[in-house]
Amino acid sequence: MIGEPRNSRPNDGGEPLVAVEDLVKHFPLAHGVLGRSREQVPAVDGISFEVRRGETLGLVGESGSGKSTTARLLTRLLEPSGGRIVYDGADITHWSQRRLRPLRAQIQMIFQDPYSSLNPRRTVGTIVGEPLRLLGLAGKAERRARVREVMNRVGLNPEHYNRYPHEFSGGQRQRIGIARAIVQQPRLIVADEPVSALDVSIQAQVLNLLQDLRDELGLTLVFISHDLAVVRHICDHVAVMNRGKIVELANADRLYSHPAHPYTAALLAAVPVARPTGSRTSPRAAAAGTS
Amino acid sequence: MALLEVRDLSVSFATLDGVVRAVDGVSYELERGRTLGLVGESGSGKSVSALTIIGLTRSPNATIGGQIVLDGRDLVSRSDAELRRIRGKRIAMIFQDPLSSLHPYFRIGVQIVEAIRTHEDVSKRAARLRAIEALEAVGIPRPGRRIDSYPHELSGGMRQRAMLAMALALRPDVLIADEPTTALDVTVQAQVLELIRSLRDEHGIAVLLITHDLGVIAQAADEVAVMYAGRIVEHAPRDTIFESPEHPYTWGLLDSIPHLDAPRGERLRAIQGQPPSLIRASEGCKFFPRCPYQPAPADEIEPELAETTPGHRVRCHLPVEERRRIWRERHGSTLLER
Repeated sequence: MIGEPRNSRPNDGGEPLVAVEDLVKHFPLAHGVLGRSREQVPAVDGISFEVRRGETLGLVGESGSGKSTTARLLTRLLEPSGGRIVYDGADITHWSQRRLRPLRAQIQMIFQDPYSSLNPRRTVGTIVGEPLRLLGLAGKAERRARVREVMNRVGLNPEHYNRYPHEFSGGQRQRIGIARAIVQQPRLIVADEPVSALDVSIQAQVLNLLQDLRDELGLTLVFISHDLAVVRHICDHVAVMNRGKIVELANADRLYSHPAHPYTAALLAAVPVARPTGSRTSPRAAAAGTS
Repeated sequence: MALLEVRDLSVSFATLDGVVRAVDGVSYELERGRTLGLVGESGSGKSVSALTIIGLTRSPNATIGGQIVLDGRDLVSRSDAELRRIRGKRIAMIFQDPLSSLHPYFRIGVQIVEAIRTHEDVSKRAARLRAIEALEAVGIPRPGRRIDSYPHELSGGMRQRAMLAMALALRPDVLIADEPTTALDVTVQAQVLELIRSLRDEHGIAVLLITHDLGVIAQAADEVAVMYAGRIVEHAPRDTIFESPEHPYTWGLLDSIPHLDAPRGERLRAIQGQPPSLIRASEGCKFFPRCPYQPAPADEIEPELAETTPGHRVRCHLPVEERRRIWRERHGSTLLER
């Protein structure tokens, strides 16, 4: 079940690890008589993309664009209303939770707010080791050793095994979230705004860590963020979402240098550049506007 | 002369874990028609210093030292009642999350009218007209109808505009904006910053803009104070902060963020370590444990915030020449390209 060690990043344009086709998610908006919903709001409205093994796909968009819903559909935390999700060649769109269980180790999620995604009454060692216990992947001693190893890898002191989440800073808590995700040797990580709640100096540390882990473990990553510069930094391909649809999907270099869709160009132009006068709007966005 | 002057302000809180020195000897000045950006990370003291200006940190466990001078009179030593007449009227503040600063049960117009009538003896009708004017001034479409909306009926950007309208309806001299755009989408952020800028220019308001985002600083501030562990570590005109910063922490902040025009895929130059505890503050330079340039911890004296060129003050032990050399090494080439 646990894949073989993946030391290199296969970036040879191989098979997609995950692909979605025409994915749709509706949420009921208002309830009519008999409690049946009459109006539906499409949070995700027919999107298609694929992520090749070892690649990082960025999903960017403003609030309400459907990027977080997409994350929860991909990890099957939400039931799709339509379309297909194909993981490693298998159509998992409507698999039961029970059938999905073996896949849970392979598909992991990292959340925006590390604090609310960690049980405050469990020690870090328990939190990070929990997935191994639930999946019956290791005995107690082995589990402990593995947790310490992973804690060390993400830059946490393994001596802090018995501490509780509140004893850690925001950046360290996100490292706990990352440790919990990688402890099961996943193949796909869906990270939903993983650095948005962190201070700038800590954000850089966590981005570097994610990049290193991805390269070392050969992870496939879906990286969701509202921050266009962060996405550009870490992603190979970028999908721009607006109102539940992907308006543009391209290689990161091309998307940022030559945005094809006016919405992408508008987003890029709005990014304040941390440099003084003369370059307040992105030079690339400005150039793109004239092309 | 400065409109508002913060002199050697210190704010500490007694907690169960010990005394937290949140703000420690901070001085800055706000001038009409100018925006001072206070930049720093969580716990740097940027918000506490601003909250203290309008007396919102006053509590039995807080100790406030130094002076906050408005029109030649100190605010720190004034009574709560006196401060209440200044807060809102002379000095207005807007916050990061407009939804939690607006009352959910009352229409926005009612809330703006209440603010006006608290400070000025005007009729309800006149106050309502002023409220509509204020909503119009901040670019809310159809203000005559929107005035009767509840906060939840407005989008995030519109709510922040409504907060600004409430702040500006009393024609304050000073506007404190604490992370005003952090909760907003980028396109809306750009609009709100532009709005604050034009209000500053039209009404000659002095703006104190608090943010962790250097992009926001670049877009909206005239002058910048960088805070770390309750201290200002660097203070300079905006262009200087970006073109020739001299404090290693400022360098770290600038290099921690990915830029849209930087080469892709390279590792970010992160600041190592964690922000320091404000309870057991170390002697000497507060940034020392994370500073990659300080030779040896020999000096237990904290550096002064010393002027290196007119208007540019830096709190660092490194010799000025050394600092300039390091910055050129880190960034000289990329700056020349531009």
